[in-house]
Amino acid sequence: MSLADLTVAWSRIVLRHRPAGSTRSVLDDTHLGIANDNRWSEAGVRAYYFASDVGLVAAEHARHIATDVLGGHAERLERSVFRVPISLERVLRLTDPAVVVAMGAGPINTWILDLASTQAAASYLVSQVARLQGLIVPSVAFLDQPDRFNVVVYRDAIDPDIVFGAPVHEGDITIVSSGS
Amino acid sequence: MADIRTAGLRTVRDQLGLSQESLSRALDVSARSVERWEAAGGTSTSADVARRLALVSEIAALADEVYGDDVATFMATPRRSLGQRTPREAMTHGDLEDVRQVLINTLDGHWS
Repeated sequence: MSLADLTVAWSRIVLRHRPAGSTRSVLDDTHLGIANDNRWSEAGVRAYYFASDVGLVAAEHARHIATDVLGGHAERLERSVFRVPISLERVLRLTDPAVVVAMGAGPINTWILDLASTQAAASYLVSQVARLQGLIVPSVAFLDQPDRFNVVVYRDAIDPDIVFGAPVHEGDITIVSSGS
Repeated sequence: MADIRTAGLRTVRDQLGLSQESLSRALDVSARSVERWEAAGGTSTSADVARRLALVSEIAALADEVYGDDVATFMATPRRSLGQRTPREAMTHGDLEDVRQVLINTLDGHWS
């Protein structure tokens, strides 16, 4: 099957977070595309990221901080978590091995930890599938738990007013992470 | 040359915990210039210094949004993405874009 044949419509309530106390909406797009360390979008590609559950939100964020901050130091962040209904018409699920095979790639667990590979894979998929709105991707924090995932939504492929429902504040979390 | 407002410069500097000397290095100007600008509230300077001043202000705003009361800890914590330097050290060496990038990477959440 072609990649286009494997696209699906997909709806669910997912989670996204912002600094606690931030006056901007959790769907604010001012800084999308500027981060250079997001796994499924190269710098310059505007993408929203969402998580399937709050444990994943904390684990992924803490994982990055632990990697960046030097050993002997720690960082504490207060984050507000929001539930966001999303409804997409064309997504590819990289949690489905058939999609990875259709890409011509090896098993995803053999390359998902390499940032350059995942960013290149995402760029390839966007270039190959017309009007692709997003990806469902495994979380590298929980590679052994396929029911936990991230959702990547490409801002320039959607109308936010149609794709997103109103965010609802789920609660605040404190992430304390020590450098390694 | 560019005309800039510097009325909030002292607040920005205090927020980031930078001395006038450190800020002057970040801006590549003399410490005397920083002292004068903080007192005067405005000045005329080169486009490059104006750009650096705008970056410092943006860094202060982002740091406040991301870290709130813990900005001081952020500024004193060494990071691999800054070449094992603290944000304060990176700024003092003029690497303002790198510090801005760290904050933006954190703002919308890190995603593996």
